[in-house]
Amino acid sequence: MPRDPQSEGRRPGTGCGLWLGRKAGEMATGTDQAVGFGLVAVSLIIFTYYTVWVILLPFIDSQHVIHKYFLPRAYAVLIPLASGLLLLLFVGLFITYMMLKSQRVAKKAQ
Amino acid sequence: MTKLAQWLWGLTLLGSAWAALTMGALGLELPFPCQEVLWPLPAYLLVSAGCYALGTVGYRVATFHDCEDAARELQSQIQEARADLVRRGLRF
Repeated sequence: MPRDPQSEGRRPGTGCGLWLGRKAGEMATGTDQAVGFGLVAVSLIIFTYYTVWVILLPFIDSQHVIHKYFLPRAYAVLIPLASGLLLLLFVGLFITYMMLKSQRVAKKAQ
Repeated sequence: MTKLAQWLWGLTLLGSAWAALTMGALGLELPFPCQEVLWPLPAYLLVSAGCYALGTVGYRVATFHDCEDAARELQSQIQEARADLVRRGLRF
């Protein structure tokens, strides 16, 4: 094997992925923060709405006005089930698309 | 016992407890609000686990610190590697 002169003297990276020893003032960039906190907000909203719907509503008097803001109880199981199945469908379609694409590339390279 | 077996065992126990309570097989008369809370409980646990996962991922994305030095070094290493491979005859 010929010795590659470039591979000598290569030292390990100085990456700052470790939590210790990071420099002060290195914050995540704007889009990262926006996306991250957006995800946190979305998950909190979904969690509180769903908790009130499933856990709290049965204990609230059925004449209370708050019931106006929530769908009938059957949807509390149907909506997550349907969205889970949709998610599986998209994942399957994506995988099929990727496999077909790689097969087409392999066939063209022959 | 493997981790998978432990998880399956726990899930089976909880699942059978839930099924027994919802079908009324144990013969105890739960108050109506408790029954109403009980039957969507697996869906609720799944949705809250999903929300927790989503929230944790989002939080880690938002608080992960940029590493300018490491990014620059990685880019230069990528350029080196590309040049090296092109020199050895690999087509990009």
